[in-house]
Amino acid sequence: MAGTNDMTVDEFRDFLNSWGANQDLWPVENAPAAANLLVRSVEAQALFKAAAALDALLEAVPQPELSDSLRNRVMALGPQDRKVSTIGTTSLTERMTAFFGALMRPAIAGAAVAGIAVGIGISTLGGLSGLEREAPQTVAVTAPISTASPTTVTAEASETENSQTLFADSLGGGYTPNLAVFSETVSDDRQDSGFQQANFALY
Amino acid sequence: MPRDGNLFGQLRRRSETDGRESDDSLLSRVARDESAAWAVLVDRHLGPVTRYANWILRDNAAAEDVAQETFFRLTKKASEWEPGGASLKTWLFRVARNLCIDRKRAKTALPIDTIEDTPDSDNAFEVDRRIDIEKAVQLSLEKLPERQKTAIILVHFEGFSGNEAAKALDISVEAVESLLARARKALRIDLSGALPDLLGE
Repeated sequence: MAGTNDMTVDEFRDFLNSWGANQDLWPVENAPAAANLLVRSVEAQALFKAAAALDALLEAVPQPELSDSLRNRVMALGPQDRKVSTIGTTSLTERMTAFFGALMRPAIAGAAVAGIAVGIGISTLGGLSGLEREAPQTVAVTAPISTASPTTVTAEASETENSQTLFADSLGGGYTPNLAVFSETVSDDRQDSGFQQANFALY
Repeated sequence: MPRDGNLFGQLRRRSETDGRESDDSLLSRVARDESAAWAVLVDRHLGPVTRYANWILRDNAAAEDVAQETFFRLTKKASEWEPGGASLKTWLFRVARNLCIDRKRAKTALPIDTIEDTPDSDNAFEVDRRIDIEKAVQLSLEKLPERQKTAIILVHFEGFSGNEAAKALDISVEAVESLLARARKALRIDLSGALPDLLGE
């Protein structure tokens, strides 16, 4: 009977015995033939009514509700938000690099401005006594990494007799920030050449 | 003329053609660690899988364990899922069914203790009629062999087509028809005693 438009009453009985009276469940290849017979056969309609009665009883069976706790547990099995998974799967170096990429640029820019200001100040003070000039000067620039982290980076410019070194303090965990730590010689005659701006080629 | 039919089945069948994102597409997104796609898959399939396991095991906690394990296996499968191959729906039920069978083998048949106070013939009509019907049908379903019960659950409760049920059960469509026919016949005989008026007996 498959695929034909004709179905006998006996075939229709077998068909209903398997698939019931819900036409949405009927196999598409047999549904047209079954529907045709149903329209024109009183006997088929009686069979249909009996099958529908059993279907109605099956529908009476309650469907249990899905628990929230199960859904939560299953949700936790799958991928999580990228923000969370990134922290869980990347190295400390990668994470800190990301931090710097997002947050340190303004801080470094600030440090550069401060450095320029210091340079200008030193240049201005160039006429002071040698004792004053030889005294170490320290400029500390503190930039918060984020509002969620108390970690700070301190860029300290320490002027010694012949050199000026800026170093970034450690961030813990052996992490070496991807700072191009600069150490440049500042000649004693800087007041003539002016303050040499540091190269902040961070990335 | 035909009544409205099984609402669950209708809704499920309709939902498969309503233009929503396919399971294959969602799985490929899950493989790319997209949590939103996972949420859609869970909301689409967790309920039916859990209901099925509950029907087979008649133990809520065990059914939830099976559902959870089924979806855990899906997370491992997502990256190697082949679009256009087996449907996710049949894959999930196949995994869940195997897990249920394993559990039933490990633990001898569970008592039907989740069905309360089966009404006997003396007091059946002293309690709410609807509850009587539910319990009677549940008991009759319980008596079915596992394969017949699975066929009934997949087709009549979860709206599987014959092909889908055949794949989930790893048998032919003809074998599914045979299981359904035997199951419905057994249900009719069993329920005709308890609910003759509702079956037109």
